Amino acid sequence: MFCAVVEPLLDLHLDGRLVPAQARWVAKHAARCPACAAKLAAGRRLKAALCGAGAPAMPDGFKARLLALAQARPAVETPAEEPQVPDLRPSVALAFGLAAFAVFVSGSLLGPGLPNQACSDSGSAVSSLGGKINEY
Amino acid sequence: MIAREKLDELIETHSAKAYQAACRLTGNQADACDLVQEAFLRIIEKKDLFDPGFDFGGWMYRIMFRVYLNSRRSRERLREVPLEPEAGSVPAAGAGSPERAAENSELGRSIGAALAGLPAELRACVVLVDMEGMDYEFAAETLGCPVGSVAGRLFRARRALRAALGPMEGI
Repeated sequence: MFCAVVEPLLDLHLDGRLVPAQARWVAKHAARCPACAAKLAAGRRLKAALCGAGAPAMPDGFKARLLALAQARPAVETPAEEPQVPDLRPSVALAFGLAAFAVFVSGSLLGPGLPNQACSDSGSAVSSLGGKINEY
Repeated sequence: MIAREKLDELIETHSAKAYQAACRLTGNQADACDLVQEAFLRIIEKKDLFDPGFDFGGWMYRIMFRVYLNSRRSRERLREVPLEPEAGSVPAAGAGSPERAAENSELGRSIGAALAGLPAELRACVVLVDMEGMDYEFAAETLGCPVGSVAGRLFRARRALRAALGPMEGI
């Protein structure tokens, strides 16, 4: 049962991708289990074989061909960058927001001190209207 | 942006490495030449977009592997044969005595054949991590997939390679 859990971790163990506690656990299990130890060894041999597998050298003249390519091909024209203008929209919006907040706060603090068109508390409008009604 | 002289210098420095990786990916020298040429064409065309503060080798690998994967996806069938040492080619690294060279050559052929049997994504992972010695993060960035996918692909690829190379002594 442990082998089924350990098997997917063997490659990660070989690549050094396990945290130390996991690596110790896998190594401890492999030391006890011949099947997992064999898989670990096979993985190690495969890695060594892949790492050591050579590749053919570049054909003669290929590098010169690449260099000639670089000389012949101009770089693709990239659109000229426009001058960087700082985007003021967020700061302007913030300034407006702060101004609106300041007006609201001052209005709340001053309260009745500010003239109010909807409902005047001075009573002058009402009294003058009452006077006119009496005249009629 | 890369200056003209700097580009020549980078081609001088990195073309051999690119060619080796291309050979491992494609499995034959003709396709490897085409792949490297195509990758360097894109590099030359986009050289203005390259930031000299970054690693040119990583950028080159990224472009080459993407060109390879895109071409594999677009083509239904790509002519691929296992790596065969051609006349005049330099023998594999580590070759010493003739017996050792023969062993290496046989092992190289078998590895080439086994790699050719893998799907392109799995092969790209094996080439990047096991053969080119890159880490999982670089492979994930190059192939445009999560790190977990790289680990999963490597697991499947190695299992397939072990099955293919199992009969060989020493694997």
